[in-house]
Amino acid sequence: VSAPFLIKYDDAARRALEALPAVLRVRIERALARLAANPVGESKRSHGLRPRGQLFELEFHLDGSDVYVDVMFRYSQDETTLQISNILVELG
Amino acid sequence: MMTLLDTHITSFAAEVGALDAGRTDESHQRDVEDAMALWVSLSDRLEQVSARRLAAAGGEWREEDARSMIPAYQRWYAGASKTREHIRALRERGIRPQGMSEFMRAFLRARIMAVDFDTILASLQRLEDLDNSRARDAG
Repeated sequence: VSAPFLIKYDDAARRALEALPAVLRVRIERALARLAANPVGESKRSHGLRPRGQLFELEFHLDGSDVYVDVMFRYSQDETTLQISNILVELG
Repeated sequence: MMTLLDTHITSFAAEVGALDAGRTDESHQRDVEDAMALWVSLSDRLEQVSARRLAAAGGEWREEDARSMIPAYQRWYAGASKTREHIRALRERGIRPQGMSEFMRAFLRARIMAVDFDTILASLQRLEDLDNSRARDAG
């Protein structure tokens, strides 16, 4: 079993995460840990003319709301780290 | 120049805007679900146009090509945001319309282009620059 990737946040992603309620932030951080263990299986290349990067889509139910999350990231050159650029969250 | 797709997005947004979010009759849920499905279809068409432009550039991502699609995504996003008001009204009545996941996935896809494009581009560039700088220092 290969070691999980490290996770590093750009300021934009960190700010987005820190602005969320703790309960939501914890759920997303848990999902990011899952992503770090298997980024190839859990993510896909951004599609069409979107900025080039990897996209991790997440969806869960929390306190009566549906939560939809898009996480954009790139692999570090040495392929040890997932560099999270942006986290977009919408409640459905 | 407005394309047929642009025209459809604009006119559909106007139709959705004319719907009354305060309705509580049964047909409101059906109208909202129809609107969500139609937005997803229009989003699929936008994705196809986007993919076609990328293919025309030999698969090479170019910022100017991406930027040329932003106004269409912004029109889609503004129109679909009106539908979200209706979704919220239904949710407040305890109704979860069908097709939520497909609609919200399309909404987030559009948001990347319509709202967050510059932020995402800058953020990815910062990370790439930092990575390059570290690689140079290590070398």
